[in-house]
Amino acid sequence: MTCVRCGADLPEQSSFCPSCGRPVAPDKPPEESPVNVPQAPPAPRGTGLVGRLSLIEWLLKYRAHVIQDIRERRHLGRYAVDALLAAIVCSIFYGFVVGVSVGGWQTLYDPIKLPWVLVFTLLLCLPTLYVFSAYLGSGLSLAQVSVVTFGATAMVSITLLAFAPVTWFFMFTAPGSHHFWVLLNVVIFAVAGAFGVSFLVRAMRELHTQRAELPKVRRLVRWWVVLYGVVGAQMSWLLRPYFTATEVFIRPRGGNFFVAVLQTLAEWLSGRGW
Amino acid sequence: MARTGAPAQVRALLPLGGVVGSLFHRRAELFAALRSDAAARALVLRMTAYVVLFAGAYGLVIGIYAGGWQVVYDLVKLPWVLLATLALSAASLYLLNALAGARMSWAQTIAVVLTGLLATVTVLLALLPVVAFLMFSGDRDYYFAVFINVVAFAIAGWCGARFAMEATAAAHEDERTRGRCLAVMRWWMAVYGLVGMQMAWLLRPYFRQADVFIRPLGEGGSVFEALARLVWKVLVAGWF
Repeated sequence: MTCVRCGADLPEQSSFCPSCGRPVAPDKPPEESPVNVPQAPPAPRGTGLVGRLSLIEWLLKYRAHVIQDIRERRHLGRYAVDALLAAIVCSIFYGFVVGVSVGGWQTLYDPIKLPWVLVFTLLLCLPTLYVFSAYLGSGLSLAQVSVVTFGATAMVSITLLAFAPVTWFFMFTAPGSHHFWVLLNVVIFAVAGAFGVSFLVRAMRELHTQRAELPKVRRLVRWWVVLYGVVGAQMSWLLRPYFTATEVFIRPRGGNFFVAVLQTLAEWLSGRGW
Repeated sequence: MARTGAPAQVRALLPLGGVVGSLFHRRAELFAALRSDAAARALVLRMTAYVVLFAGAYGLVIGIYAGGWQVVYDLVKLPWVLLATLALSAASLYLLNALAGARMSWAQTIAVVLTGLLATVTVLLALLPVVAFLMFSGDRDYYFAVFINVVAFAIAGWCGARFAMEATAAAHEDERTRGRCLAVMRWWMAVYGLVGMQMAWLLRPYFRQADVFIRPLGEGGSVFEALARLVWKVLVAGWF
């Protein structure tokens, strides 16, 4: 037996194709309540800490609803505070997981440094996004732009939170493997960053549907993400170290990220790094 | 499925006497039950118990082969590797599923994975007589024992992965969500595999006697560095 859609071999008795997911038997039992109710309106969120942090669940499952609220300028203040809170709480937790594995003072420093990097980079770049989107004629208010970017930052932190158990396990069971730690975190931060960017892109797209400015705004978002990356790289360079136990909070100021990358590259190419 | 009657129906879905029958022959019913949160909750407990039981039984036989305290250690280690890996990586699957547009509860998320794990250990248990015969009949060759177990785990893991894909496909009715969740499952299995590799490596040895349950941490970093060293030693250093 083969699948009518993708042609994959089907095991006996199977009701769905394992490779493309098409149902084999057309007569599906209709009485089951589906998991994916399309537009299920979420219950309103409470005002306590738990209610505020339930924005995490909303950003994951009811993104369309949140973006619609932003579009219609509903509860913008509430969303801004809650998204920022979610971003800070989740990144404090991830920083703690990393800091605990490094040990020493870093247990205290990393939970401060991580939200610091995320939030301050955003605050430095936020005016650029707002002013340029206004210049391009997007018509978004500062509050709307803020909430969208806070939401994207929260998305990054939530992803970090979801991978925190994996990070903890690898860092805890491979003590002292400094390069492995760095590599692991680079991969996880790349994934988290990708989810943040994807939220930003989607929100900006849905805020500008049926507007002639959409292509311009899309290009702006692309450039702005690069800008955030450049500023974020320098910000995290400034606050290093993260994976080495030190007593000082940050290293003495000196150099910058981009010169350091070029230097490392040059050393590596000239063979001195080996 | 009615919320109140879920546990009773689940008992009927996966009876201890007929796990193979209900897991493989009547899989459509089992997959359909994953769509309800209440049934998924009841299924999680039951499937976890079966995974512990089946993987423990397999571990017991490996332990008998190794001898000594390893009988007890392997009995614990095998279910531990499978389930602790799930515990560590469940949050990432929950996140990825939610981003793919599926509104699955924690119980449903874990139940889908457990369906795959249960299929894995069931197949593993089916291979056990052959594996045990091959291990115990000839000379006690360590590398041969490792080799046939790796083969058995590869076969069982492959079946389990396919089964988990089938369960994922059946858990979602919306065509678009289903496609995305299948892609998510494929990626997440890589995460599970990487965490599982480190977990399994951490808990070694399995096939020879050891005085301690696990080795002290820090004896060489992660499994990936160990593999890299091994590849280096075999492929590069061997030439000089």
